[in-house]
Amino acid sequence: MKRWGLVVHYVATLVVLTAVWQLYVSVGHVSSFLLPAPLPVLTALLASLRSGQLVSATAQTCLEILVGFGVGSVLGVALGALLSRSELLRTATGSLLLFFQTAPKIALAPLFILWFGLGLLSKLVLVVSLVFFPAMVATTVGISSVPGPFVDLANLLGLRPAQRFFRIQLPLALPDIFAGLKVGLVQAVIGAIVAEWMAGNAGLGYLMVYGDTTFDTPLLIAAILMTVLVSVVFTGLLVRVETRLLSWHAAYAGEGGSS
Amino acid sequence: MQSEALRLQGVSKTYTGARGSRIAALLPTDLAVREGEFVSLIGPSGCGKSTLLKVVAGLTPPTQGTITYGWDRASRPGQDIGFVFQDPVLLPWKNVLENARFPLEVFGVGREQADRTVLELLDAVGLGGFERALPRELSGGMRQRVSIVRALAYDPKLLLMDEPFGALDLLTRDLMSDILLGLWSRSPKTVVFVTHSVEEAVYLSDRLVVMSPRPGQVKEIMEVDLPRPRDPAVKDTDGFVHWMRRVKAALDAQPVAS
Repeated sequence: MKRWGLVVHYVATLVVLTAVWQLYVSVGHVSSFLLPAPLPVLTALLASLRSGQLVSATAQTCLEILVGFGVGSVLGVALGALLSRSELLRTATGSLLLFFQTAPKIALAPLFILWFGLGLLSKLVLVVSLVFFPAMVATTVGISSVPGPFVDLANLLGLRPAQRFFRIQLPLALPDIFAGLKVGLVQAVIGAIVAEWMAGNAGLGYLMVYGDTTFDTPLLIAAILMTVLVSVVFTGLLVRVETRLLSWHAAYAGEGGSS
Repeated sequence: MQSEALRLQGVSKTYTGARGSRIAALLPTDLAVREGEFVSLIGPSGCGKSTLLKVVAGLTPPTQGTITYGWDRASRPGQDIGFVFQDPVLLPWKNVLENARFPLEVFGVGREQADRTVLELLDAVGLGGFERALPRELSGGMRQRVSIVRALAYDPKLLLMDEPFGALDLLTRDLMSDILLGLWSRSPKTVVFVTHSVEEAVYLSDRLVVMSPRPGQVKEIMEVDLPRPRDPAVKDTDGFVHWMRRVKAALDAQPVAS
């Protein structure tokens, strides 16, 4: 019942927004170059779907996000875990990491394109670099906030480093890690789109540039809508994984129990 | 004549503070514990009783002094020493059974044997039927019972308990004391028990170590000669009241910290 109420809510909001959009365009006599009416956008959306243009662009962007996010988060969590184990490693790499962490990665994008070419690799590198740091920072924060008695328990039982990490630290740090991964995911979508904007012949970012430069505003808006959809779907998936993995956590207990 | 389970000689602990200041948590202490003996350390906070326990457990090295154990130490520090913390320290994603057998799993004991040992202990502390419950579904007292079972699951030579009932309400504390006595009479273990409850200490102990704070040091050691086995009725006897008075007097005799 509650679920359907929510769907009705969403649909109603969408209908009202579309109506306001249509009204603004027809009453204000807005040029269709600046803001096309809902119907031409829908037509463009359906046409580019049918031609396969939008589908292959979406697939390309999803691939970049998925692989980049996966590699970036695994690397980030791994290095975060290593850093929280070794004081020496922390001081040795501290300034270097701070430099790369504070450097705006988007500004590095042209460099990545220069180094890794116009293809998939340069885009993946940008996405990975954007996901990596939030994941790493969240992991070190999560592990360092493991309560002292749990550390005592691990010491008392003489856990080996891998046991200590996988059986105590990682699960306890998961809420923090997911907070970092959510930030990373938003960054991953931005990174993929921007990389395709700058250099690319595929993907939603490329489609936006294409729609823009060929004065095909309906196509541009269709690509933007698809980007939003991709972002929403990926975030939804991540939240699902989080809820599943953290069902034991009091803060997630309600959702985990009812599903 | 029973053999010794533990001997501390001149064991002290000094922490180095933030600005290099040195804080004496525990002055040099001598203490011998017999095998199968129940010894309580009692005193106000800051008397070094928890520090002493952590040093014995090997969780923190002593600044000076030596600790001799009455057996050959196992390779893993905790394999022959059970430790019950003030908080239960249960892994929140594991159920009661998984939490209680966690050490056995880590030590490589077979699943079947581990389950048998743990289920028997869970039964003994009145947690039969709760194996599949998650820690957050249990009361504080039940959680602490799981943590006691976890510490006993690998049959340690020595059981250390750091104010295990300190966070529980009074009625639950009394119940926990009786459960602990029940376990102890089933298989008498050497226990070193830290508390700040006089009643708990007198009720449970063979010997009482009264400590005083800042810096932490042993003030007096008493042999509690109340008969065993003990049950709640002993608390109404003159002997019990006498010991309560003696311990309170020993604690009050200390200079009051301002």
